[in-house]
Amino acid sequence: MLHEYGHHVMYSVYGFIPPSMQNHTFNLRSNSTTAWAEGWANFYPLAVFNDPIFTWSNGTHWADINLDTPHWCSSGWDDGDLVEGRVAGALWDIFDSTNDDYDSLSDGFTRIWSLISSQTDNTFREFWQAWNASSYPKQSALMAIFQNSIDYRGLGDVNADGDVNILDSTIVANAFGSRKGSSNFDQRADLNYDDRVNILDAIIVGNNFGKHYDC
Amino acid sequence: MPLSNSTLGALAGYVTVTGRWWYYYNTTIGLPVSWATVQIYDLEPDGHIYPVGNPFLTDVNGYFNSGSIPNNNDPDGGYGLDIVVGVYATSSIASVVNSTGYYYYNLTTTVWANSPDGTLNVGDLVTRYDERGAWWIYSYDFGLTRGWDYLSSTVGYNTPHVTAV
Repeated sequence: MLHEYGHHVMYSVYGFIPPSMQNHTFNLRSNSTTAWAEGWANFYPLAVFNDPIFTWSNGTHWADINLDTPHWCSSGWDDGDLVEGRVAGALWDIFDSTNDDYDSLSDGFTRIWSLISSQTDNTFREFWQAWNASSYPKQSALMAIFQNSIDYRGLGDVNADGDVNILDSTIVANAFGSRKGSSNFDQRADLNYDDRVNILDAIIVGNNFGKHYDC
Repeated sequence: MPLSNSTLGALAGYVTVTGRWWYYYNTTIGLPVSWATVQIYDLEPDGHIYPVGNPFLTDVNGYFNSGSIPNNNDPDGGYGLDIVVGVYATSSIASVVNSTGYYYYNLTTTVWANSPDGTLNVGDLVTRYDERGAWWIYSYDFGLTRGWDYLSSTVGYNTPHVTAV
């Protein structure tokens, strides 16, 4: 019920709800506007109850899922910001006070709401752009989002601090030669998403070395 | 010498009606009706009920308190209001209507006749089992009133009224 009320809340502050596909699934790719409209509505009850457990229906039965646990390439999940559950998880990791893997941000509801209520977004990327243009914390927010398989970092900016420098090279070097599942694999260093950290990732850092991103 | 009705009216005291509304979550669990509208009525000899006092809301736990209502005499010759309590699935937060769009889910109780002055505690009252879905809206445990309260209390935003069908 609070999911539907979340749609009402978005409508009341936006004056519209981004166009949504009639058929959409929590853990699978839809489109950018559906993922944002549904992702917000999925996140809203989590914030109200301060609980990452989301109850959803696949059309035949109800299930509970902990939105703090999915990560890159989680079984049964698509990755990226076209997935409503990923968007909800990203908002949750900005909101929550639990650190997990790349997420160390505990920002609560106020800043999220400030953006929701002060401007309009059609997609989660637009929401992020509004966040990025604000004075809110950037690096930790990027990594909280990254934890949910949404990568808004600048190219080569492995640690999401806005600069491509020796710190990024070091992260790639430490994970160099690893594959997904290896003890030293670091998802941040797999810049081309091929589940291995190798010379191709190092080249991305090298080609962008010295760049500064305004984030 | 017996007092006339008008004299009784002039001498009338006040009655405060208290109680609690809850709804069926399922066949075995009842939950409070939070922040729904309550209206106190007086049953008149014509068989109709007439509102007395202003409507008000249940609290988060379903309790209600009418405040002081003049305990006027009825034309039926007995002293005190013939109290009926109604609850309505509407408030400034949300309303629940049926498919016609005009019927607000509601329930009115039986009568407490000739209420004495003072506090009339009518105890626990329950809405209809077959209309329990309408009252989920007013559940603080998972209803949208909880969602409304969250925004109001954390960021000071009062979400506009919503109507559910």
